[in-house]
Amino acid sequence: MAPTLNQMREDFHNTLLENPMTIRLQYFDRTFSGADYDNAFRTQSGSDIWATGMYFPVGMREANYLAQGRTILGDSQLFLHGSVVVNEDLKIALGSPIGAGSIYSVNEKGILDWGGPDGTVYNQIFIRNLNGGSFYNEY
Amino acid sequence: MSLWSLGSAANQMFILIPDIPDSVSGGMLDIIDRARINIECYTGQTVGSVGIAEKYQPALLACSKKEVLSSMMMEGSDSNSLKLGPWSTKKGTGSNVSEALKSANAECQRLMNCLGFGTRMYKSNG
Repeated sequence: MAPTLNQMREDFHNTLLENPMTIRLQYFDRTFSGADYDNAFRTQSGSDIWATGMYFPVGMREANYLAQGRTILGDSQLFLHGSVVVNEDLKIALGSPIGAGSIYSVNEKGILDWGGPDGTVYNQIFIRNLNGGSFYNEY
Repeated sequence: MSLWSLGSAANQMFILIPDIPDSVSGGMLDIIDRARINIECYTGQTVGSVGIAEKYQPALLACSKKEVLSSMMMEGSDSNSLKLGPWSTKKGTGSNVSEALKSANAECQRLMNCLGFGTRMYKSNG
């Protein structure tokens, strides 16, 4: 019998338990206002969310995604449970307590949604270190 | 070693088996209690849920471990292996949990035998 979405999510959750990393997620809104019409201001939307994920560096195993421009060597990738909402306006901090230089942004086209018609089992996210820990025009 | 409660046995289980899924760990005390009842039925002796004597502790652990691993095998999808994108997981025959379950089964039976089988005497009508 084909596995259901919930069964696959359970299996993925069990894999997460074997290699857990605590991750802080901060969601941001983009607004165009004020003097700087060319660039969006980003303000945090809602409170911080803490989740568990798996973290790996990007290597040549991701050659397809390197070729597609989703990531570059030196980036990192995260695997998050499908129930965690992700988007490209996300700031991700790794570890608890969060180490210095451990703040990342999501790459453009950097979210791969692995699942089926019923929903997402897990998300593979390509992330890049945010110099200084803040978005450009973050308020 | 000292006298155990079911909670002490549960603590040992979390040390012995890493990464127990929430759905199994939530029922840990019930699982251990069922293993205790099983030992009582097999040996014909009273183990009790508090003040569990040292001689019952290894068998209680082994039999609880068997039940926990068995529940872990039932978790998630009913397949030997699953691959979705870069993530894959192996379950069923040959997986770590399945191998551990085999040895836990044998260990449970061996330790129950060490405790001895409760004899029952009946008067025949012949």
